[in-house]
Amino acid sequence: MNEQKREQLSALVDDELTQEASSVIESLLEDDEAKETWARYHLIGDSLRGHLPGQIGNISANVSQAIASEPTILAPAKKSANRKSSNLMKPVMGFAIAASVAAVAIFNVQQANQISETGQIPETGQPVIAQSSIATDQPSFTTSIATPQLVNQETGQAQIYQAVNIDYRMNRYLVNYNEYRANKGVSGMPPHVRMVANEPQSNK
Amino acid sequence: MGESVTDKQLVERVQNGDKKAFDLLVLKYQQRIINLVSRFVYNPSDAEDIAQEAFIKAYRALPNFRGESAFYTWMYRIAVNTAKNYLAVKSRRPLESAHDIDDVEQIEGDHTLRHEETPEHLLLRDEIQETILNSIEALPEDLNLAITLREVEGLSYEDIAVAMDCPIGTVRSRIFRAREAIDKELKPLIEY
Repeated sequence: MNEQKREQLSALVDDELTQEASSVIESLLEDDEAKETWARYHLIGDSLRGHLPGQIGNISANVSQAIASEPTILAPAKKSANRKSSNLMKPVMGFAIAASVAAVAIFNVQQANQISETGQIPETGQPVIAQSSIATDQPSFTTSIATPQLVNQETGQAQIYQAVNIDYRMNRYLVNYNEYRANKGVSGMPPHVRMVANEPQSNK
Repeated sequence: MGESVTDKQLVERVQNGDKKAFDLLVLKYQQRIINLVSRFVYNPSDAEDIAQEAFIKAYRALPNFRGESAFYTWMYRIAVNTAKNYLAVKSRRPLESAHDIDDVEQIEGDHTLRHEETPEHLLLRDEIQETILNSIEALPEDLNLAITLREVEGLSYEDIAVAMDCPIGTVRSRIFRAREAIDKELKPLIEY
């Protein structure tokens, strides 16, 4: 180790080497004599600051031997990097949540359609749905159907769901009505039905 | 204690699989850690064993070290906890005096507390300290002042440059030459 390297080492001991620190550490790791100098330079400081123990020991060899049998450390990426990536992911996460909500809505509409086709409520695992009865304007035809209105959803999602629910109920109403007419021997759509209105049901 | 840039680099190297970098941290801090642990246990050999165990624990825990505190601060807590665990296992008090186990941490450099240090051990330590002090006294005034401001007062090169009214490069050179002179006398006493 030449004088220039030793001076760099001295500056490294003082934490005053910025640009060349990495290369000096690199050469220090490969040079046993430099390591000893590194240890003695620190010993000088410890002595002057009153940090020397009663017995001047050197445990570095034993520690080195012990960790030689330890698995090599490969630390996970730092938190700061994760935070950066999580910030970048925020908009994507927003889309993902919106997509999930949409998927749930579609799933429930499909299930509701399935109900309309079979006339039965499927018992498969499904989101919690509120049930309500809709009585047709025909006194002999009352049916209970599952309305795909999610419980405890946020207001915006509930409004979307209510709109889907109205369409579904109206379609169901017309289908039932036509089936009823067909059973009675009347074919075709009723010519007098021009407009169907819906009034939101009040919660009781 | 401020975060050491060198420590940070060494820690990052170890975290990336460079075991040799940990040697430098051990060589740097071993005397301070042994000194710290010596406040808890009588026997210098026990103190070395505990310090050794503390460093091994620190190595194993390094993947979880995020640099939120300085490496030495973190290492200090590991060493204290290792010493306390040792005492708990041994079920004995660290000192004959009335010092509580937590009070021991507050005692700095009180060598009178250590009863099992042999005269040989103390002789070596005293010889090392005397050699260093004599070497510093023998230095030219500018080197003496530079190394004292650095090692005793803990000033940065920039602050020493202001205090000594000279460029930072000169400060660096003076401190290096002072260390070289001290090390020349110290080297025959220490074997690594």
